[in-house]
Amino acid sequence: MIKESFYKRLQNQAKSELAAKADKYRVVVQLGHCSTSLGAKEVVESFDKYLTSDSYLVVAGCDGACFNGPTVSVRSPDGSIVSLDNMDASIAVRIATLIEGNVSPLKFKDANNVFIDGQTRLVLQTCGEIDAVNLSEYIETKGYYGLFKAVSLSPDKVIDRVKNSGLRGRGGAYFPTALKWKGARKAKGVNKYIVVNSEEGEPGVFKDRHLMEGVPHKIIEGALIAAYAVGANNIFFYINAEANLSYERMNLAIKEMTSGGILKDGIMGSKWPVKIELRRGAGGYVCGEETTLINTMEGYRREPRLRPPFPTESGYLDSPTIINNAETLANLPHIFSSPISDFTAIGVENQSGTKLISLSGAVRRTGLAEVPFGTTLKYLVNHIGGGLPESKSVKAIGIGGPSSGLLPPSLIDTKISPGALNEAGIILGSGGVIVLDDTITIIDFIRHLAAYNSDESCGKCTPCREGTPKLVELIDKFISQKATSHDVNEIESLAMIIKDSSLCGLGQAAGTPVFSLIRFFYDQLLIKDN
Amino acid sequence: MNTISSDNENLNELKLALEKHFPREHNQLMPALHYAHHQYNYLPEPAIEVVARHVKIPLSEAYGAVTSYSEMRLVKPKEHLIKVCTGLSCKIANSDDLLNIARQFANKLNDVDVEETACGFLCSVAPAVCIDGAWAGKLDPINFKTALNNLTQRIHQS
Repeated sequence: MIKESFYKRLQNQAKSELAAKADKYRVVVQLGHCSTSLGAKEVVESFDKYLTSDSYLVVAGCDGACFNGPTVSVRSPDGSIVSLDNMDASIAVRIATLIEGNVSPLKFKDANNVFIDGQTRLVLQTCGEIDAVNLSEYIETKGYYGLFKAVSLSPDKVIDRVKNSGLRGRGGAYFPTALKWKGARKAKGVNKYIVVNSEEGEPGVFKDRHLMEGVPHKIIEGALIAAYAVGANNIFFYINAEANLSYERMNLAIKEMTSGGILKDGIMGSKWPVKIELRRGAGGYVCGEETTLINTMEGYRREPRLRPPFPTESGYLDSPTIINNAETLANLPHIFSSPISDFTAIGVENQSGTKLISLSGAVRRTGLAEVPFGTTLKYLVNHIGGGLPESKSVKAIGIGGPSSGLLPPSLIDTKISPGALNEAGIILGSGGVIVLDDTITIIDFIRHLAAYNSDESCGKCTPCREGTPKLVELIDKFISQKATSHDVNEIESLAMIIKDSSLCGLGQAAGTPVFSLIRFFYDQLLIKDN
Repeated sequence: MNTISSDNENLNELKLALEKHFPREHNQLMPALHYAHHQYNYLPEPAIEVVARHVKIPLSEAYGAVTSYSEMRLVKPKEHLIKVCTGLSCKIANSDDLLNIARQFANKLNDVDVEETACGFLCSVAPAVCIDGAWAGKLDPINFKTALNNLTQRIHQS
């Protein structure tokens, strides 16, 4: 049994560390992969140079409002907060001068927050506000309390609670998390493994990067809860090869967490030891598929494996292995630290909680947004995204990445939900939404998706390896206006064969862009004999 | 296939480093390859062989793995690399224009490579380009050309 005093002690440590800074100005710079590309690193360096002892600098992740970056916020000792968007390095000396002159509150125009206020933020709560890696800042915002609560329960009770929450995997398959855990808990094996899947190789999706850069401790906390629940002594964080900032922050956060006493001989002073290791991906969309991921970890080609056996019974090194997406795990701290009804009240029946949506394309505001299941695309595009600039209109909405397809504007009232959004096979996937305006040609974009699937086919299954380039050839026939109605049948049946006879989810979904083309944009196809 | 200069000395260093950092197990193949890749900025065949020996697998198997991952380079890259993202969001933000500019720029120089990438994961600040490892978002032809001018200056200085 874990004593209440254990968490109290952590809290007290955090409090006393932060109390020393309470009478200073707090300057937060949001530094993520996104804002780095807009000069946020130079902003941080500039503050480092100019801030004096009256203030302290906090480097946070991006809060999701990437379109506004780099963002700087300043909290005065009196508690008032000013947030500044689209900043560059020159802001540092101005703010430093104001602080030195004790001009408070700072007189600046406040940011327009419709993008953030329109969301329901559970996973992203505190993202962009707190120091990304600092343990005290995380604990001060109730961090690791969920883990503390979890290890105070028996593992079976932990799984029960996850079951009652209705949590499903957020990587794209939406498999009930508790069911997966139960399988691995029951499975026989001396070693059990938790693999945190942050491969995130899907074009158009940048949610895991935001989480790893902004709230890495939430993912770590979730992974530790998972390890305790299924009886695993090993956690792997599997991070995309190119996500360098994510890797850096995860690495630092893990060090902070262990040196802060959360994980010593066991989790939170319990007798449950866990070893943590970070692994990097090596490129490829298919690497996010769970059996392929195991192949990569074991040092084999990037190819999926036959299932069964499922990884929960026989995964990494033939041991029971749980592969959970980073976003899934980042939901767990909230599920354990708050009443369960707080979580189940969000979303719609059988689809509780929120989903991170990577919103990009022609909308005014682009970035990462967290909304409850059941939210319409219309709300995402028009309210959170701020609609399109005047004189432009929505021609299509790309959703779910290359494994899905394009929806026509007439279906903008479609609600986001796990799994299929409609009968054409359009899926939410891991939550990428790209808004296309009327300047684009539909078939060019379908070709783009099909060509991507063809490039990324690992080559294991013949229908996918040979069929996906053939799909591209057929699309080209439509583009060059040489296609006949026979080619419509041909392309549809080929897409169907690829769907039916591929081993992994990627091959099975490789034809979906074509289905969406024929189902929704048939009238835009130029067919010779029509 | 390129070979590395001063083979033996370099390879011996790699061998010692692998012995120090990585257990001799199959599951260490990717971490060891990453390490070697980081050292040379690509994977020369002799280095793959050293890694394969270290994790006790045939070279053919290691080579098979290497060629199946898109991030592993087998050819020594040029001194400078411009990656232009041509993912969906960047494409509708006219990344094709940036790609053309980059190609014209590289044509005039010997040591600059241009690559397309399927996604730089900067869709929210599209279009995005990566010059020598540093990504820049919300580019237009004008500020992209400025960035390329800076690269030219760096090339001339070195």
